[in-house]
Amino acid sequence: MALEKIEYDASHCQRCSTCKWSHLWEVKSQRFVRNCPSVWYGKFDAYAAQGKNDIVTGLLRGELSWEESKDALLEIIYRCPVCAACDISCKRVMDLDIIGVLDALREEACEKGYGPLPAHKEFIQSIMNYDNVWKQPRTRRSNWAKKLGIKDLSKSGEKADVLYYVGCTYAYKPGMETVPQNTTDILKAAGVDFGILGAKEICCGGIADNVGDKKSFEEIAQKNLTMFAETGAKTIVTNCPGCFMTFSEKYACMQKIDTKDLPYEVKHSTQYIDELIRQGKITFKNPVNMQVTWHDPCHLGRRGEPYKHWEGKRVQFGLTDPPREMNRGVNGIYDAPRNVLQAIPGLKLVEMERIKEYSWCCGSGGGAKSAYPDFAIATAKERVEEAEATGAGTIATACPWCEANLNDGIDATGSSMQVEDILDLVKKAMG
Amino acid sequence: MAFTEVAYKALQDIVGEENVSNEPAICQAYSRVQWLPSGVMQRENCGLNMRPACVVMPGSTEEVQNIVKIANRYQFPFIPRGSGFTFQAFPTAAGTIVIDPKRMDRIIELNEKDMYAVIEPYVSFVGLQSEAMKYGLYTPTPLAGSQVSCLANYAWHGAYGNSWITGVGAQNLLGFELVLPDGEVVKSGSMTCPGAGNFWNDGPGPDLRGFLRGGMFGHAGGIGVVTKISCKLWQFAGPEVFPTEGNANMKFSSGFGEDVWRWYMIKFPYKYPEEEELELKKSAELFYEMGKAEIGEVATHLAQQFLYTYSSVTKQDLFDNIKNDVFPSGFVVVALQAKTSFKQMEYEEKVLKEIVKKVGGIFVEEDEPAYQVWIKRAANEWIRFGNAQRLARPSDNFSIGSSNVDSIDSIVYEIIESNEVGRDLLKKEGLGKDFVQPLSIHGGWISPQEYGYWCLHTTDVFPEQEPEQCNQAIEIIGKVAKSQLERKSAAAVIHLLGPAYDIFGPMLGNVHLIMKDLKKEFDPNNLANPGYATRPDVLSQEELQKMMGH
Repeated sequence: MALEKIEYDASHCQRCSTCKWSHLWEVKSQRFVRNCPSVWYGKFDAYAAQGKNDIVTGLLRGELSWEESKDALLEIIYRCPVCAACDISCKRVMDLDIIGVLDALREEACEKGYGPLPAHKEFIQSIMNYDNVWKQPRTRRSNWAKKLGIKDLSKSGEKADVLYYVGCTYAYKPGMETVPQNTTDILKAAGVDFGILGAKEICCGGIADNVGDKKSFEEIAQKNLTMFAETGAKTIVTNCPGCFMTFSEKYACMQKIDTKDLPYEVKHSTQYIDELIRQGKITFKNPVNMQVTWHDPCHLGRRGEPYKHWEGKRVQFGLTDPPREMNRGVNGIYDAPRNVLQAIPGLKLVEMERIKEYSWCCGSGGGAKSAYPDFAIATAKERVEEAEATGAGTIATACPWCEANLNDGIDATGSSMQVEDILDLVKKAMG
Repeated sequence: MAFTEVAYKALQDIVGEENVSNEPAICQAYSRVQWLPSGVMQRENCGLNMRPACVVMPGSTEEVQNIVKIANRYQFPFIPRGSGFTFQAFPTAAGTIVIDPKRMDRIIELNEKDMYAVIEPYVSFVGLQSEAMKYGLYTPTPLAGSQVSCLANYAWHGAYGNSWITGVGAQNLLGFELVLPDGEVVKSGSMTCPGAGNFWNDGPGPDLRGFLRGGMFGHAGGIGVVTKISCKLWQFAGPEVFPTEGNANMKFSSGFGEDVWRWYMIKFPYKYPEEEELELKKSAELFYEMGKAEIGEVATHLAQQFLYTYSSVTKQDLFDNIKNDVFPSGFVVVALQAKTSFKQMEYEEKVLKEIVKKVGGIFVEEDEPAYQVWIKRAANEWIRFGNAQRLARPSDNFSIGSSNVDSIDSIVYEIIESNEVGRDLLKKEGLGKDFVQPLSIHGGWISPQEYGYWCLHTTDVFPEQEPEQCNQAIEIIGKVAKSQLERKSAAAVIHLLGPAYDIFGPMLGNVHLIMKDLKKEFDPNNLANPGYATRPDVLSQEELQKMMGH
């Protein structure tokens, strides 16, 4: 059933292969000419958006069945970070909802009972059991915040202008607690009235939606929406791009509304801090003498665009009724992190060849890291090599999944590069 | 003989298990040519299963040779592919395998001094151009888009945005290495002589470029697998990196700099479409004068259909521009490049202005919508992006309605006549009445080649991707082509299936028989893309002849 929603888009693929290459205007070398980790790694066309369109068309028209090729289908569908590089390249020439095709294939796999994969089920079960993806007790969720004196908005009577949502990975992953701690220091230094949900914070549920488990996702999302409403906070700030996209895009999509009509505004911490810097509420004391290159997390960049709800149909010539404004990757969060980095004294920002909406994915998203770790690490290695080519010694990013996977890529290549969270750099500069 | 498990294992031994697959899901991704009316017809009307028996990815010429030898030993058909954006390279017979060249993606040599590159099949135009630009050189960009295989497009004899200087694919081939259908390797041009360099196509050694002849009465992979080519690179005044700014998807301006590159749009003071004939004749005059003066990097005439599609940001934007009459007629587009010096470009600009004045043309002003939409948004597309598949944006499907190769004068005559036939078909028989209009009746991309020495044109029609409209599109192609041949015109029927060869061949010096003889000689087992040129089992000759009114 899920596939029927995107039949037009899949069956009108022109097979031009634009989906396989980095944005043609932006290609600077043969070395970094590709955009799609999935087909770059898997090579066969089936791993590209073009091939997935063929597969959808084949499934819908009875030329291909799940039964004859289930294992291969699952690998084709899930060995992909759903980074949307294909979608953005395609939309330069056509008006097809390619990311919708990839999502629908995952939803279809789940409807058939074949998906998600065991590694994904572990995550989802963990959320159901513990409210986090890491099988950790709820009580440890706010350990990072001990003695920091942050308001707990889950407690009755506590109110704040801003809800700071930390996310599972920053809350639990050893070594990553510095990011929420530094965020706290930065917000406090800027005089922001904020609070957290403490041990009551639960996973955003993005992973469930990413792998096609809509039912679990909706259950988790409803809990979060209720909790957000109870806090009364109008602004949610989050560090994790996955949470950012889930709250701004997926929750809007689930409720069939535009992002702008959500009862809250979601800001990624880089956006919020960029504003604070421009307002003069954050100042820097220490130079950070580093050459840094910025890795755009997909969920912050091309997948971080505000959601614009559309319900309608394709009419004559493939036009949409009512007219549909498609996301084309141009309104992602690209400038804010770069502004923040460039505001840090002593820091020199150098760009990789593939950036912004045509950035190369780290390889971790869409459940790829858990189900296909070799693929994820190979994809990260490719990014590390691209970063090394800039001459920078540090990759800055703002995503715990990118950070972890890029570090795995560094280990695999033996590179001397470092990965730093952008907020750790901000804190260093603030002193 | 069918493709067997034994043959599959033999392929695994050649390329490694990970580089060959017979999984239905993997093979399904090589089973469609849906975007052409003929592809839609095959699928919708004939129910043809085009899924290959397996897909194999060789990593070297030797591996290709071995694959081909195995095909001969076990008697299964094979189809070589480039990037996969294809008219003809799809299975039409059970048991066919596809040879996907993704592992052969090396730029083997980029020779700055002699201005050529030696490349493997999966090097795209964009990849090669980006490397060439570092040396003050560039490649042409095909209208199919710079994402396509450079080797496959040259072998197919594609045409380019700057064909004014580069000509078509054949003129850019300096040599090739070809694995014949029996597995033997042949080389062409100076590639035949070890140590001679790869810079010259006319010898020493035989010039075998006619072998390839992909798109127009060629074999479309039916005479072996090209594993390497040497191709020309052209002077480029810079910059070294294609300049863009901001978010690429919505910003079209690429800002080459007025010191190295200048675009012009030229129109004529005639009523359109009523006086289209005068406009096209004046355009031809302009091209001839430019050719005589040997100026310009790009010189082409774009009909409305090309202007609207190429410059569109979205499908809605395309239809809005049509509604707002942004391009009230076709236009001539010219670019000048400071290849040798700024003075040279300034000189060419002066000459161009004199010529435009002489032929009664008018430069489109910067504040005109046409200039804003074309020059500001899309002009540099010709240099880097090509079109990819934006040409299909009006209906998510398209078809060439007519196509010719001839002198500029003859091309203009043909466009006028072909358009008249097309309009008649619409008026009298209702053919194309549901297509995107007016784009489907006022056609004409006039692409003078090599300073106007010769010329090609295409006009496109935009049926939707459904059988009735696709049938109509094929009927229009056939009837327009028939009218062209009755006028003794050099029609280039590149979108029709196998039967076209037998129907149009006798009217074109029996070229089809020559190609069939070549095929028979070099592919005695008829294993290399057997279904395309020689065995029309998809759309029957009877059906096609009926459509054409025979």
